[in-house]
Amino acid sequence: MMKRITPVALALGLLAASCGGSGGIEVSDQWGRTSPKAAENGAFYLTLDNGGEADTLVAASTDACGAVELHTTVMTDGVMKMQMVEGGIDLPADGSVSLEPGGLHVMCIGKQVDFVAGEMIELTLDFAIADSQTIELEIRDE
Amino acid sequence: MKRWAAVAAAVVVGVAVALFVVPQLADEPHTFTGTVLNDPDPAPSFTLTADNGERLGIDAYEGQVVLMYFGYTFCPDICPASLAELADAMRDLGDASSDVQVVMISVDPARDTPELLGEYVDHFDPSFVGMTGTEEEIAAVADLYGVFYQAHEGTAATGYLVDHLASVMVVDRRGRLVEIIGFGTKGEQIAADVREWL
Repeated sequence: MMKRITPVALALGLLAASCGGSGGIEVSDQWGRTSPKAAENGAFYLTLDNGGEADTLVAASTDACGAVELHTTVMTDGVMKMQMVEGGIDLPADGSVSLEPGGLHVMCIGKQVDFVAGEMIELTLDFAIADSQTIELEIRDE
Repeated sequence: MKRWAAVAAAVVVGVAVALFVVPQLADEPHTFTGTVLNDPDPAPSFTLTADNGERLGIDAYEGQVVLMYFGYTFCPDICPASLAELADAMRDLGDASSDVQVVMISVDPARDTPELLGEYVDHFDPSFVGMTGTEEEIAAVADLYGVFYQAHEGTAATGYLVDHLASVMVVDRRGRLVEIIGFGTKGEQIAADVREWL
């Protein structure tokens, strides 16, 4: 019995080790808010769980926008200041970063499609170290 | 006899609850989420161009609770979030929402024409009104209400962006500026505060 199980256990062990160590960045809770046609721009939100070494989300791109930038909003005494995140969004090792309304967000500059509820958008995320990922997100009310 | 005693006791307890406990609960003061202004002053008058082209100001909504928000249509994140919560608040208020008027004043009059503003606010709630004007008019109104805003250079892709106070100014039915509700306040909390002014 033991002699038969060991190779399987070994294979599983190797698989688990490689998944953990390849800069596995998991994207979840991705969405974009519905937006009036009159609004030039939109925003996407998502959570990034980094199970690997420290990395950076350096850029995002999609055909749904004329241009895409990573932005953050800083609130000081109620005043909202929005600015591009220079160099990208840091993703600490074994950490989680959430892009949420009022904070970090992917800015869709010049919407090319209508942001109506149910619209699905493909967004490609580029990282400094990990492989790029293309995710699908839904446009919805919060 | 025992049964009568039990009934009598229940009645006494019931009356006691009605007289003492229920009124206590009813009188429990509402805890405002926003900042209530003590000794409120009349909301300053102004005249801007509403999204239907009319020249209007706060006086147009006398008798209603007015929720004023300073924002702009180019804003991708904060303004849609704020207006979505205001729309939620209106839904939460139900019939009472007919006594509430949301007004969005543009801090980006260069981009925000009345027509664009009108289309923009309609997305969130058809009852919302947008107001814009000349740069000087907007600056004057913002100054009256203590609302900071400032355009700053963005990137080549974005063009300029506008930093701004994202709080909601609450004007009561008597036309007094009574409360300031901070960004991030959920619709149902806004509604709960607004109910106190209705």
